[in-house]
Amino acid sequence: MARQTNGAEPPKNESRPGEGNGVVKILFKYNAVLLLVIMFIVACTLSEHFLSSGNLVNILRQQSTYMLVALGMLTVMLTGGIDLSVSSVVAVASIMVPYCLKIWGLQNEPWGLMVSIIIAVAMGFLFGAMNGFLIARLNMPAFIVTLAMMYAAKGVAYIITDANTILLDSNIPAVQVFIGFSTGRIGGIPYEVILMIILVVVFFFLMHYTGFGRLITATGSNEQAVQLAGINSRKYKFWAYTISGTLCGVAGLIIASRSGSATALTTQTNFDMTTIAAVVIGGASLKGGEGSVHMTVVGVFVLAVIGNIMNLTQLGVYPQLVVKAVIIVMAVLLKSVSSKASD
Amino acid sequence: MAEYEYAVEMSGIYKSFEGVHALEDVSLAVRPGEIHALMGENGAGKSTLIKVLSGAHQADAGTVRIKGVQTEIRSTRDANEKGIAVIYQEFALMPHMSVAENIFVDELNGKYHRWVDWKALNERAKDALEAIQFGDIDPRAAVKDLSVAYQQVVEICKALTRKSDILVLDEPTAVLTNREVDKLFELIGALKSQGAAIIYISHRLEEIFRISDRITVFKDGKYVDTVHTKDVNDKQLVNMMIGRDLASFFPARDERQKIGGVVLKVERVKAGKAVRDVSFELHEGEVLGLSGLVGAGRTETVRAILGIDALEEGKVWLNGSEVRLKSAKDAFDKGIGFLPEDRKNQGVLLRMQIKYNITFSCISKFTTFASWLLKKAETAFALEMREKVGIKTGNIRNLVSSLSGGNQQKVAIARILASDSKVLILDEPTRGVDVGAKMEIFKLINELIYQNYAVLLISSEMVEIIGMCDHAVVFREGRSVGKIRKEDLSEELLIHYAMGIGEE
Repeated sequence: MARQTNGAEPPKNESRPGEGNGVVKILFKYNAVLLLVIMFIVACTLSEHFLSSGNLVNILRQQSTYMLVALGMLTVMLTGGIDLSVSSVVAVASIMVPYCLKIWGLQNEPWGLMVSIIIAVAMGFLFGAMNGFLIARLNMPAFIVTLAMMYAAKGVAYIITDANTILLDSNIPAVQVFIGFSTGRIGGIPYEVILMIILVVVFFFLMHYTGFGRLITATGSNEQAVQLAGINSRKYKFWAYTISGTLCGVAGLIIASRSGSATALTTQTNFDMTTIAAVVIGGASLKGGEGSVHMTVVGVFVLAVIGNIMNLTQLGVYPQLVVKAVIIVMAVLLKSVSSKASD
Repeated sequence: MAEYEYAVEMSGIYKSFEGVHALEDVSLAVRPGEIHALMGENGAGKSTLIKVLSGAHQADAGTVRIKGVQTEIRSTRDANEKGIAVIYQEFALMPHMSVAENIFVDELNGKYHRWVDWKALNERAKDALEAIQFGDIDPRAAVKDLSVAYQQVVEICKALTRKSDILVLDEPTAVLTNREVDKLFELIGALKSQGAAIIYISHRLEEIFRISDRITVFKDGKYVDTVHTKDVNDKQLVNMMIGRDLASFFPARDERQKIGGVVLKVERVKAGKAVRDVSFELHEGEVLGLSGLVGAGRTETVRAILGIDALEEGKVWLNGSEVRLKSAKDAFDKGIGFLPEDRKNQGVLLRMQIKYNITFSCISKFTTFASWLLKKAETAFALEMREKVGIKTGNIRNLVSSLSGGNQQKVAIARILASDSKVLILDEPTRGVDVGAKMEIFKLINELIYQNYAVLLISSEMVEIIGMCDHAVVFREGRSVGKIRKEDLSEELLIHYAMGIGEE
């Protein structure tokens, strides 16, 4: 009779498939880098405009908001959760600054802009904290909680704006400073990009060089074991959602600064799916406990370059969606093949 | 009655997991119209054999004859088609669906009829239930609303409607009241007289004497004997189940061991259904064993003491002061290290590095301002722990999933040693671990004892309790029923307490 393996206790060999071949292993682990390089080369051949410094800086600028949201999404996904409320929370935060400045009249107060910005970011923090409380403290499923929060925040966005656009008056000094953030540059690099780089670096160290980051990852890897080891895993889950919300708040600031206005239509931006896709392309696991900041950056830019090249070649909006979907599915397929190979 | 002598005839069955023999040359023969009891300690191989019979496991070697015909059972579906039905302690019922739907679940997939005739289905279920004298069960009722005993009846009824005439009952009475047991036995008796072959697994001796015709005893995955129930008494039966040579399997303890004062005292603890009345004392520098049959409430007791599950009554003292622990974190903060029994789901983080697994529970030892990690110190510490507990790996950055079971367990032990806990609760530390690694874990426990740790060792293997413990407390049905000193420890005594025979 043939030897059979039993499902509960698979036989363990010290050397396993997938670990044997170094090159294959690296290719699997960093398949997103390979994907980015391929995209880059394809982009260069398809359009001579792609490599122009103007275009490249433009990509970086456009991606700053997605990057911030993706960092938060990564943090949440490391704990094994998901945050579907990001688009709406970004929108609420983006509305708060123009709302405070204009409707509350803070634009004429000495510290008005500062206060408005703090309020906007605090809104993001608050929505994130509510997600965190419901999920970590009350043990509710992240999918449902953040889906509900998506609708709640969307509602709030429409209520505040009364479904109208709040347009800032660019003659007022405080407004000029605010809008100036999206247009200003240091040495040719936009402020937004600098902010993005700072936050990426901060998160890189936070996730990979601090005890906090370690326990976020551990919680996602096996929450039950972490809890039984005497660690308050709820705390880390709570902070993951709060961080995500706060970063949405900051992303909202950038959006409001770019447009100099506020509209609830911002809730339609698909930050949620784009950032989840970017994080997953970057090798994170939906089950949690796996993922890194640097690979998430790669994931964001894979999607960015695809989008950019399709714009440059003037591919229609709807075909673009299909192409993006194919790329995402392929990246995730590669990931599942590679994790099977190393299991 | 039939043209074959045995309904089930298994012979020369071998099965091993990861090089550990679970079954070695095991045989079992059951006649039609017979109730055949399977006996043996925890881990003697009863469940493994049943899993082979039901197609859940495939044997490495051996022959199986069903009703005189040699066959190979490749899947549970295969087993069903051959008329074999296993009723486990945990039922395979769909709680939210009706009794009738559960009984005829395999007809609902549209294979026989495109449309389900609910009225006919309910009537057939009613007939089937009446045929076994349980006509009072409403076929329309949701299974979750039935008592556990009735759920079991539904499970049996399901097996019978599939024309199963080989019925395996795994500890069927564990969750039943006395009256329900009587009713179940009536049903089993009726099935027997209809010619069904019934394999009955139970730890309760009185039940076995009450209903079985013959008994087969296993020990350590080996076949011991098959006897007629009327020819043996309980003492003889117990003697068949025990008595193996301990040899020099357990490392001897030397004079470095010094047993000190009481560090953990538990008095009359009660929690849920599983823990009814438990008391024990754990001294510094000793190994206290918690022995008993699977399901006797040992793990549940520990979980209640640690505050993972609610503690309803009773008192717990830690280092002389009364405490009521609120959570695993609380216990950890007060210096109790806990190694859970389910290694893969509760003990280690399989998808993380060995290094991270060792340090995560005391990560604050390796962080400075703003939670910044001192990676060099962490690595040095992890390497030190690797040496101390003897984890066999070339690189502590490998994932834990790449290790063997024994080495995974050592990682988990290293993790609880990394914190400053002096009281260690080890729940089945050697489960699913090969013999070599078992030895190493025992040696490690000895080393800890010399360093004045106090170890509470939960083990279902009596040899381990006898070989390792300075004291043992035996659990039976949620109660601590016996306290035995090292000098008096014997399998006979343990099994007597655990099964409740010859109590003083």
